[in-house]
Amino acid sequence: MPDLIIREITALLLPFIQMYGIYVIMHGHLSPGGGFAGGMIVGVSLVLYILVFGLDSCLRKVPHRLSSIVESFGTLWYAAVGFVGLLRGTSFLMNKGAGISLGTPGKLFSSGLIVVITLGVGIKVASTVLSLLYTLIEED
Amino acid sequence: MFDNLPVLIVVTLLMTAFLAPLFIKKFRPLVYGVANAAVAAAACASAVLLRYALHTGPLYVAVGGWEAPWGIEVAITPLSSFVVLVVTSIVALVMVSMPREQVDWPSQKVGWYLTLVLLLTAALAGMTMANDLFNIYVFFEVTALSSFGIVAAKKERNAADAGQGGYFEGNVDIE
Amino acid sequence: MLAKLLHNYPYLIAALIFAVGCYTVLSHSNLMRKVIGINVMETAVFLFFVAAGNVRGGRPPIIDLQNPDQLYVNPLPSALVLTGIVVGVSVTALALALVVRINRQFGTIDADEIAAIRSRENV
Repeated sequence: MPDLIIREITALLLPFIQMYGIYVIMHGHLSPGGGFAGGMIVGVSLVLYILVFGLDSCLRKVPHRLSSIVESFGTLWYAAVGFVGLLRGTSFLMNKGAGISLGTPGKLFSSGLIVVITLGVGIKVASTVLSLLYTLIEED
Repeated sequence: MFDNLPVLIVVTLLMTAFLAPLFIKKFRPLVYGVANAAVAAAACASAVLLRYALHTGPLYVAVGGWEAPWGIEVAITPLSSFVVLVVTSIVALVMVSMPREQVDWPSQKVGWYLTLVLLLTAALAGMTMANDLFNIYVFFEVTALSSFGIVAAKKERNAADAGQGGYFEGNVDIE
Repeated sequence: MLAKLLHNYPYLIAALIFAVGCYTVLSHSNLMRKVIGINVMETAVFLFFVAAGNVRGGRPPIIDLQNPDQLYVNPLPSALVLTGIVVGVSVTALALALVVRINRQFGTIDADEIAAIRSRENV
């Protein structure tokens, strides 16, 4: 009976947890949080899924290879965004001096390349948390 | 444009470190070659910086256009570029003999082992060139983590214990 | 002098939490409790660092367009502590992976028993 209650409530709650995590990632330049905190929220929601529904059902949805690939991809995204400033003639990781429009402060799509970098960091952190759990739990 | 060279050393090593596990399954000798080429290119770049520091004088670069103390700073002096040259040359020489020793390792393990070695080199180079205390701390932690991973990657029983001892004693010293 | 110490109470509390974490690491022989003690010590250091950047009577450092003369808390130590928290999380992840591996190889996570097993093997 407690098994049934936990399973039903987790199934109801998980989409809202992940939506909140994505909200924290996307509003990194407007409110506290940012890439790392939002990525941890999304990653921990996947850990909750593993704890409640078992390791095999999460392995069917997000295989181990996919999370390793996304983990490497996140770092390459960050470095690639840094190269945008270099390609425009100014220094590495340049935001305003590279001619990117800053928008109006307070709106979602303001402050240039910060949103792009925050998104990459969030994806990387979520997949790293999942990869670490897979490495710890899987028995060879 | 020349001001970006110190940051590009660290960034190139970092990007190569995370490209290694993606392509390791199909192109194993190619990945070894690319990693060797990246460390050798870092050594050449630090030699160029050493020549510049000896002839023209020290160079202080503010990364991303933000001046200190809001941003991070990189200092290229004769001493720092010489240390980066020595470190990257030694790692490049060590990496030449790696494929022969790791012949019987599975591809996944080789991929993450190369990531750790390249991250260690990038962190050592960044720690030498950084001009503020916070970056020295961050790169020091990356060095510590990757070296513990490299030590614990061997299959002998003492390896995991050595890694554990180093973790606890190192953390009590740092904190 | 005591009034000055009590005026800077965040530093005092950070030192207290650090002492609690240090005692936890040194007095338990279970490896998992040592990892928790190290995490508590890191939390104390971050609290000390963030409290050093506090401005009494300041608001959180998110810019308020209606009031241009607002007094803000210094945001720089918070940014540095964010990177420190990331480093602390990855160090904890590495420590837990090592504890799992030690459990697989020795069958226990008690530091005294592991030392006894290793000394019995080496003789």
